[in-house]
Amino acid sequence: MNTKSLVFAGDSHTGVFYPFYDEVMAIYDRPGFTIDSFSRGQSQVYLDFVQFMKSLNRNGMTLVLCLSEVDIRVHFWRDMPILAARGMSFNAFIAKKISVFINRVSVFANELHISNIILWGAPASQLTTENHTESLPATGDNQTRNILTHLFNLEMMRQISASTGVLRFSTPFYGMVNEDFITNPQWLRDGVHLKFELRSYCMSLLFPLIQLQSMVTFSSQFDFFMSFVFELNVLEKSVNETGYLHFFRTWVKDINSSNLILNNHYGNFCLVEKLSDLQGINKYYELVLRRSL
Amino acid sequence: MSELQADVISIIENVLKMPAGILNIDSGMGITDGWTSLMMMEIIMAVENKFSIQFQPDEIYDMVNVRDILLSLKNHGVYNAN
Repeated sequence: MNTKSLVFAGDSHTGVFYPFYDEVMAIYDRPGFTIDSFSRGQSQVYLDFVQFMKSLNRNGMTLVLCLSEVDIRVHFWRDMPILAARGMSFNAFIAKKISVFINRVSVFANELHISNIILWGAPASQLTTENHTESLPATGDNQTRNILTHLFNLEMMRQISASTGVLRFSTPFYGMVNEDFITNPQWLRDGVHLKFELRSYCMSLLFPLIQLQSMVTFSSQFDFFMSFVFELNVLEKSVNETGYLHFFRTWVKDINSSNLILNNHYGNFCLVEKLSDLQGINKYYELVLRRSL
Repeated sequence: MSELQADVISIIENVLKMPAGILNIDSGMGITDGWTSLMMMEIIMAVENKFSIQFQPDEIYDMVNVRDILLSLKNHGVYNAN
């Protein structure tokens, strides 16, 4: 297969493909390159990417767009509970997000005459107790973030399978989490990004899509997760266990530390922007997503 | 600039901690420095509090700039500053 027709683009989650740098056409790695770069109009990040793509020979190209934590988890868990409290279900939110994104990427593909675009799903999320940074924030605990990724994957598979366009989808996610959606950190090289050694596994998922043999690929573990149902819950957490984490946002009950608040049937919640804001508080009650048992 | 637009811009300046005179009707998320998607939700809630309204989920989802906020306020019957 001619790997020189491949272009990988995204943020640092393109990193698992770095060992192939000399074997592919290009790897485009820019901070802040996200779903919103396509979905929110003509941002500078989007325009810069279009310019880059126009500089390449796109004849026979396959573009792999790598999605990430910021794409799915940071924004989604900040907005979804607020909108759910106002009547927009989680599924409706995700479906609309993906629909807008797919439409925008399809327009991009048409304008630049790219005949094959693969959306490469985000890996499982870093563990709750990992250090988060300003460029690597997290919103919601590890299980919540992974469940959101799963819901995103399901809807993405549904919409792409139903389409007749140029988009395809694959993800390394399944196999990285256990039945409670807790991440197995053995897959991650720095607690966040896939290990370089997994590049061949990742390429084995991508090959059928590159060769136009399939619309969607995923590991066999997907079947295990397909029928799970999920629900909101409120869990008591101890800061002594999680630590006073910086850049870790989460919905906490009966705390008033930011302007983002919501009220649902579980009570009043505030989006605490970092757990370190809870200095002096040992226990807190966090809004989470969990499997329904 | 209408009084309503001036009022909305003042709210946004306060949320983003920006000096006056930078924002205009086309200022928005991904275009204006410091106006991130996190700030967008804070701006929306500040506008709701100011005008005692609550936007619908679809309205919130689609808002990205000052123009969108003003349009949504008018859809809620808010034409003048308080």
